[in-house]
Amino acid sequence: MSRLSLLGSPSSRMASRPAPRRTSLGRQAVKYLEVARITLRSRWAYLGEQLLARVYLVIIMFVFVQLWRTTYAAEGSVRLSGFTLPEMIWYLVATEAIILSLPRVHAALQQEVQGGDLAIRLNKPYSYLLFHYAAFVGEGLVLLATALGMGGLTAYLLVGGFDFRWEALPVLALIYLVTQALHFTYHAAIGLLAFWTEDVMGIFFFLDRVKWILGGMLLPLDLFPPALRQLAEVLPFREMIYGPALLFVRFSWPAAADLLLRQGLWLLALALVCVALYRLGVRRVDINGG
Amino acid sequence: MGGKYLAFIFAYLRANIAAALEYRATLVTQVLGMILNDILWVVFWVLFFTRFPVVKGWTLEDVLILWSSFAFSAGLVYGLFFSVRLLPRLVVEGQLDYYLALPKDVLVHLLVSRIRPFNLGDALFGPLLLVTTVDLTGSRVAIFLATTLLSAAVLLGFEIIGGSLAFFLGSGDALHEQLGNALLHFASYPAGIFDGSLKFLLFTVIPAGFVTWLPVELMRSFRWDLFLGLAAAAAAFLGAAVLVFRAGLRRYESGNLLAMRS
Repeated sequence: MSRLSLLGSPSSRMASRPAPRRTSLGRQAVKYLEVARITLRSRWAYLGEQLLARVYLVIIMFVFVQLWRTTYAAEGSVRLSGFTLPEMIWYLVATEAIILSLPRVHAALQQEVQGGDLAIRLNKPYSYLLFHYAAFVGEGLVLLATALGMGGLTAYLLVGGFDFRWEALPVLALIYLVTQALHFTYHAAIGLLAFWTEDVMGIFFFLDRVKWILGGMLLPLDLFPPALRQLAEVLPFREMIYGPALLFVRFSWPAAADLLLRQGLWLLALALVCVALYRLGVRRVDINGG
Repeated sequence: MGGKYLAFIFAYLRANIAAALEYRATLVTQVLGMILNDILWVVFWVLFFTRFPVVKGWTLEDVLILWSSFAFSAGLVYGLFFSVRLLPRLVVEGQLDYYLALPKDVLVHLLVSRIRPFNLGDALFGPLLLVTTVDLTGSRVAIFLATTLLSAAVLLGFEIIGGSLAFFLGSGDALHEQLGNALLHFASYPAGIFDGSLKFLLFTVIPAGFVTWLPVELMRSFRWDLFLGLAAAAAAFLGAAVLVFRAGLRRYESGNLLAMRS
């Protein structure tokens, strides 16, 4: 076989090349799933280290149990705002697991924008934001497993179990993924502010703690004063922490459907903000060779 | 001798703060970020005590004093002596060579060599919270300052001991971090929720009791025996820290690194 026949003439190559077409949605999804899978596997390789880092969660849960056990005893009541002691503790396991399963995407984005690594990412055949989202999901799932495992074990040993609805597990998994996407858009939007500011860590610290408080991370919204509860109702943080955690301890199908709808609407809004910030920010980038 | 060291410490801190001020916007954002972070923790406690006004004898004012003292002492330690948190890494990576080659005491030099602007926000927040939320008299302010400085000494001693474990364990970064986090976590909750043997642990192995609970108790009603106990604990933790660090330093192996110190 001649060399020519192997390579073909330029014209024959042009003729045999398939017509350019858009990559299908399925192939795009596979690409990002692969990013998520690779990130998950690389994080899973350091599972021992991740578990060691979670020892801290044992202390957190222990202190929570002490605080709430004392409070329930002082109130002389089995239920506080509808929560039994085990439900309260498992609610806190769920909120901690949600928060502790969020990779530091804001820091990664800031680093890439300010360090110049963004330039390397921009010429790759993937969406910058979706690439980071896929990596966020992959790493987040490992973080979730360790946080839920360590927190759940501690809670079980200290206060026992609760009436978990196992048949709702697939729906809860779906809700977790949407919850995670909501957090991603929130954190990524803060990280993208690095296009405009020197340092986003201070802004992140503040906005993250606002999310914690108004999302009901440390205290269920049911225990808030009415005015603050009303404020929390109209912000997205309720759907990011309180809603999924409450559903985890007290599942109902109508509440799940309602939460998914509300989460979907907030996700759409926050994703739009994220994309807008990215597009505006990228316009400000100057790339020099070297 | 002591005067010379004080001048050295202040000169170092002044230079570090001047360096941080070069990035003024970053410094302000970080300090404000930490202050707002602390405010939100206080908001949590306000919400909690609005719903449950007394928890085992602890009221909202007690927790506000606790957070004032806690933020101030932790801010001073981690803000001004941030290297103490990096100690295990410096030991394991053989990065103490720089300090060994210079005439000043290795531990003192190491401690003052880095500041962390984030935590300076804590150091500002503590007194600010106290002044704005707690009824104060001249004597209460004096008690607050004295007890908080002593509790900062306990915290610093504890961190040096925890960090020095790396000399003996060959690693210890994770252990040091877990110990530090445990102390900070226990110290930021009311003492009333812990009892029995746990309380004993929290005045010895993890001295959360000395870091926040005794300052709160002394602000409620001053007692010389408790104050002297706190002073003795500060002296004991700092003294033990110096001994452990020096014993560890004898086991230190150079990294033979040629690197810029940042």
